[in-house]
Amino acid sequence: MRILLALAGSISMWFFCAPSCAQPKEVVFPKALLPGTVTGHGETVELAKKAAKNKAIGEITRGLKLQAFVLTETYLDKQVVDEGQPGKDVAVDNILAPFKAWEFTFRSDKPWWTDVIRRDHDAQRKLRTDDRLTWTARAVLGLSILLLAGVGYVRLDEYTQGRYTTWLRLAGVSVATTALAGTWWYVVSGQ
Amino acid sequence: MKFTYHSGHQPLPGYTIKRGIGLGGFGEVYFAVTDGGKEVALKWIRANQDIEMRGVQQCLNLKHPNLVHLYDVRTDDQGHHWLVMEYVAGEPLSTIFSRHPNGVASELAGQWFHGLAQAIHCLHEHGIVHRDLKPGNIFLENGLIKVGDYGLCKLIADSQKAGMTKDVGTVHYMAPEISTGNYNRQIDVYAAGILLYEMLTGHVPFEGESAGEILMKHLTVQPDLTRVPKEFVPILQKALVKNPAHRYATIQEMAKDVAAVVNPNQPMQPLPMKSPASAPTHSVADYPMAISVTSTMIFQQRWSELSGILLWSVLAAAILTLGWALIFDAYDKLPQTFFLVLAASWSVLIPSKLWLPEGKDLQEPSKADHDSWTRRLLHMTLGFAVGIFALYLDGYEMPLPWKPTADFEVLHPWQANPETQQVLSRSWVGRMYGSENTSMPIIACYLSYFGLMFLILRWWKTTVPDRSKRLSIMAVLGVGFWSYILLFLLPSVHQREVGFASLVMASVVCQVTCPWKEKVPVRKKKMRLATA
Repeated sequence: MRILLALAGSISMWFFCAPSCAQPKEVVFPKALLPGTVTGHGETVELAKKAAKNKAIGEITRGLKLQAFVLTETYLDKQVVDEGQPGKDVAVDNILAPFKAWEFTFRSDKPWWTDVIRRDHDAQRKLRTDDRLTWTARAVLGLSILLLAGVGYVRLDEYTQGRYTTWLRLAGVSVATTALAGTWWYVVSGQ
Repeated sequence: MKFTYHSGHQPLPGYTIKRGIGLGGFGEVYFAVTDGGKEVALKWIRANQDIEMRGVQQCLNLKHPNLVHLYDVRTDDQGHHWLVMEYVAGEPLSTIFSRHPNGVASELAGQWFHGLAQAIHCLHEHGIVHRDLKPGNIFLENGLIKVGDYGLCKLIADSQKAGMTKDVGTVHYMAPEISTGNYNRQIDVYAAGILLYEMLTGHVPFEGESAGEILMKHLTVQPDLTRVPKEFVPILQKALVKNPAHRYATIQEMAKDVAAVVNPNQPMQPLPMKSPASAPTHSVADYPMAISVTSTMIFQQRWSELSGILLWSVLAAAILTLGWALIFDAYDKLPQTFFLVLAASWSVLIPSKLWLPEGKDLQEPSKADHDSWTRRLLHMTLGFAVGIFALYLDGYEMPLPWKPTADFEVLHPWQANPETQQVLSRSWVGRMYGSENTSMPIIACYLSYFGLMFLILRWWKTTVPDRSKRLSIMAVLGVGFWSYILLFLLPSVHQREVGFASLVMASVVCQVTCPWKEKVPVRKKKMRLATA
C-alpha cells in the first residue's frame, strides 16, 4: 500500500510539475503579435495623439489576447510607448484642413508586454477566484445542510430513544432533498 | 447533576440521610443511618422502576457474604421507591484498577476472582443473571469481594429468549450474544472473564472510541492474550470464546480452573480444550442478527460522530478566520482562508476518524494513533489535494491531460512585480524571507508546501481522544514552526500569509472539534459505595 502511495505521489508530482517551462526566456519584442508603430489622426495634434493611443491599446489587446486587463493611457505613456513624433498629415478633401497625424513607437528596451500579460493573468485569476469562491460557498453551504440533517436525525433519534425514527428519517430526507434541489435550481437558473 | 436530598433529610421514616454517595442511570444512592444507628445505603429508584423492581424482588432474600445485601424495598409519602441495602465501606474495583494500571499479582487476582465467582454462583443458583458485572459494581471491603448493584438483575427466562427491555450491561463487559437478545448466565461468565483479564493486565481486552466499535470487537476480534500470564491463557480463551456454547458452562468450573492455576498444590482439573483442528472457528456468520444490529450501530455512531465533527469544524473555522481577519485586517483574504482552513481540517479529520489499524493493533487502541509510512503518505497525498484546492481558490487554471500544458500559468514560475515587492517590504512574512519564490513552477510550490506540511507533521495526533490536552498550544506552535520553515516554497506574500494562517488555524480547528477524554486522576479519598 505504502509503495503504491509513494509511486502515486511521485507520478503526480512529475505529471503536474515536469513539463514546466521554468527556464528564463530571452526578452524579445513580439513582432509577430504587435506592429512596431501605431499612427493616429485627428483634427488637432492632441486628438491625433489620443487616437494613436486608442489604436495602440486596441493593437495590444488583440495582439496579446488580453481578456481581463484593461490598459489605461497612463500605463501606456509610462511603460509601452515613447513620446511619439508627428506623422504625415492626411488631406481628406479640399475643403477641410488636412488631418494631423501622430506616430507612437512601441518600446522594446524593456519587456512591458510580459508585464501586461502578467497583469492580464492576475485580472483573470481575480475574476476566476471570485467565481470559484461563490461556487465553493454554495458547495459548503449545501454540504453543511446535509450534515446538519444527518446529525440532527441521529441526535434526535437518540434523544427520543427511537420512538420517532420513521418520522425523523422522513424529515431528514426531506431536508436533504430540499437542499439538493435548491442547489440544483441555483445551478440551473445560473444565479 | 445534583443530589436531591441532603444531610438531615428523612425521605423515609426512620432513615436519616448523611450524604449522597452515587448517582446512576437508575437513581441516587445515599449513605444513611437508621434511628437505631445502623449504617445503610439508600437507593432512590427514579427511572425504569419496573426494571429495577423486577430485579430487586428476586434478590431481596439472597444471603451471601460476597453479595451486597438488600434489606428492604420501601415507598415514601410521594410514591418514590427506595431500596434499603447494606452499606459497603470499601472501594470499588474500578478505583483499585486505576491505581494498578498494569494489573495486580496473579495470587491476588485469584483471590478476588474466587469471591466474585462465589457471588455469581449464588445468583445463578437462584436463577438470576447479574447482567452488569463491572469493576464499578464490585467492592473490596476488608479483603472481601462484594458484588452489588442488582438494578439490572433479571430472571433467566425458560425459553432463554428474553427480550431486551433496556440497555444490558456495560459495553466493555458485554458478551457478544447480548446483541441478539438471546442470552443466559453465560454472559456473566464472559463478563467474569473480562474482569479476570482486567485484574491481570489492568486493561480490558477490547477498547475503542465508541460503543459500536467495542461491540464489534467483542463479536469479531480475538482477545490479545499475550499480556496475560501464560497459565491463565487457556482459562481466558475458554471464558472469552465468542460462542456461548463453547464457554464454561458454569462459573464454578471457571473458578476451579483459576484456583488450580493460582494454587498449584490443588489437583488441577484438565480443561476440556478442543484441538485447533477440531475446534470450530466462530465466524461473524454465526451471529447474523448480532452483526446486523451492531453494524447499524457502528455506522450510525461513526456517521454521527464524524458528521458532527465536520459540522462543528465549519463553525470553528468561521470564527477563527473571522478573528484572524479582524486582527490582521485581512478581509480581502477572509473567504479564501476560511475555505482553505476547512479543506485542511477535513483532510485531517476524515481520515483520522476512519483510520483503523490493521491486525493485532485493533486490540490495542493506544496503537490506533500509531505512526507509519502508509499513514504519512496518505496524509501527504491529502496535502497535495489541499494544495490543488488552494490553487483552485487562487484562480489558477489546472493543467489537465487533455489540454495543452504549456499555456498554463501554474507551470511557470511566479512573476514578481514592483507592486508586490513593495507589499513584501511591509508584510511580516516578507520581512522573514525578503524575496518571492520565482524559481519553481507555481504548482510545484503549492504541492511541495502542503504535501510536506502534511507529511512532516503527525496531524492525526491532534484528533485522538486520549491526547493530553483538548487544545495543545505546542501542537499549534509545531504547525506554525514548520509552516514558517517551509514558507519560502510558496510564491508570493499573499499566498504565504494565507498558507501559513490556514494550516495553523486548521490545527486549532482539529483539536477543538475532536472529542477529548480527560484522563481521570487516581482518587486518593476512599470511594464509598457507588453505583454506575
